[in-house]
Amino acid sequence: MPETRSVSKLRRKSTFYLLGISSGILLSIFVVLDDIINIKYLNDPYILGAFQAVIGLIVTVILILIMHIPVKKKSEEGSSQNLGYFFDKNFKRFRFPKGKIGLYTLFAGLFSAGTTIFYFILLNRNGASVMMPFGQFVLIYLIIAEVITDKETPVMVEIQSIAMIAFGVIIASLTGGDSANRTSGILIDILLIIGPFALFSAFYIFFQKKALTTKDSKGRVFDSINLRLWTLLIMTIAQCLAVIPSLLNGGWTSIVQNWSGALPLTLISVFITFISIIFYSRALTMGKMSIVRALRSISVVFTFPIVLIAGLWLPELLGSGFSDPLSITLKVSGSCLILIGVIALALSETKCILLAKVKQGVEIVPSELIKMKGVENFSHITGIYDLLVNIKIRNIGKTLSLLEKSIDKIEWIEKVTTHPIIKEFD
Amino acid sequence: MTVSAYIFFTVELGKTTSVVNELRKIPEITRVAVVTGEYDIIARIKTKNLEEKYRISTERIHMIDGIIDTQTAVIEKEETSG
Repeated sequence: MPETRSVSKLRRKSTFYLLGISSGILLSIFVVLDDIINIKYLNDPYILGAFQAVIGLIVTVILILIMHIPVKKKSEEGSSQNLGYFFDKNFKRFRFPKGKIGLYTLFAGLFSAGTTIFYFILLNRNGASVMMPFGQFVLIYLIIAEVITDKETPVMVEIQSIAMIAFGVIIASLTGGDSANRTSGILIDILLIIGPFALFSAFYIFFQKKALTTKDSKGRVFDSINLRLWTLLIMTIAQCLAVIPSLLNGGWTSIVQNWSGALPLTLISVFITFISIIFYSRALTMGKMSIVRALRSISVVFTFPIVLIAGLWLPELLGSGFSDPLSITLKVSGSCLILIGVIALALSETKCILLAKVKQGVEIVPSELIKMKGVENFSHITGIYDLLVNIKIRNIGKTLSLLEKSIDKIEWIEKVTTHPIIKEFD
Repeated sequence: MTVSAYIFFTVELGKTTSVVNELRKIPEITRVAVVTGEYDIIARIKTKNLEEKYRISTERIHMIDGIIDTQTAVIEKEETSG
């Protein structure tokens, strides 16, 4: 019998959503844990960032070593399977990223370092319940980036989503009875979010996706587990360099005094981060950057109950954001706006199967078809049609423009029929 | 050498879900998509050889209640982006 992998019990879309949403739930847990460590043990955001990065790197190396443990079953390619295969079927062993993949990984690591430094600064200034809505702002940049790369104007649902997310972020960051000092603080926060934090985050996601979808000279793609290791290594080096001024100003004493208390929570946090990022990276390989990020934004909602529960043990976690009914209303309203915006966006993506006939006596140039935006792959087939093309686009309306602007203009294609996918199992 | 193919299905009205569920039980079928247009369902199958493909088509797929017509398109070559 050949090695076959039957259709999963879950629809492909469900797996994709499950990965994205699980990653978001885990994200809300580790952000609250980071907030606890920040309040209780390591108050300097630079020290906390570097401490977590170093511990994170050690834990990641150990986890990846565990993932090398072989298991009996064989993979699709017939090679022996290890534990890591269950997290990412492209994982075989430790792998050094080379060539273009290496370059993308390097950039992903650098932007990850930048976004992490600003994450800890913002977390230190505001706490987890505010940090979560802030983090969603990156979606706007991702949509804009996709609009630019697709050379298509955004459709109404995308404009609505951008507006809802932007206003949601602003509303969620407000608290009742904001003083003049606090108002200037909000402005600094908003500048940090729409500036370095969201931009670095968008570039990080972009290069992660590039590293995961680019094939090497042997036609292999990089796996999310190795990508996490190498980006974390680069991030740790950058975080350690960024912490030097704090260390020289008494930061080292703070670490010596508090490391034992911070360690257990940090270990839990970095373990959850690792799993969350693996899920997230896998989802990235299955769908658009903005959709994955949108699914992950479920963390905005999950953070509130987690903060409230943790607040029973550590009241400082609740901060001014939970001090009065108006603040709570603002946070819940802002988060709802963000969530509605991202759900609307996530639901607009669509997939199609195109069947095409080619002209007799005209040379087929596969690159003309494969380089088109939205075309995932195509097969040369026997029968009535000659080609089956799998496409994935931001919304159904874009199918028409893809056909009119791209496929219909290919000389060697005679006729195309479109089959939008309603439901899919993969 | 393994053989991969797409099978295009025309299905009786109201039988799409049951046909999809039956197709998902066949381990050699690796993808099932419910579509609109000329066909109702497009499935992908991977078998050891054409003979096995024939056996699965005749003994399993053609036995599914609700299928009106099938057309098989064997994959000769595949091109992927990225």
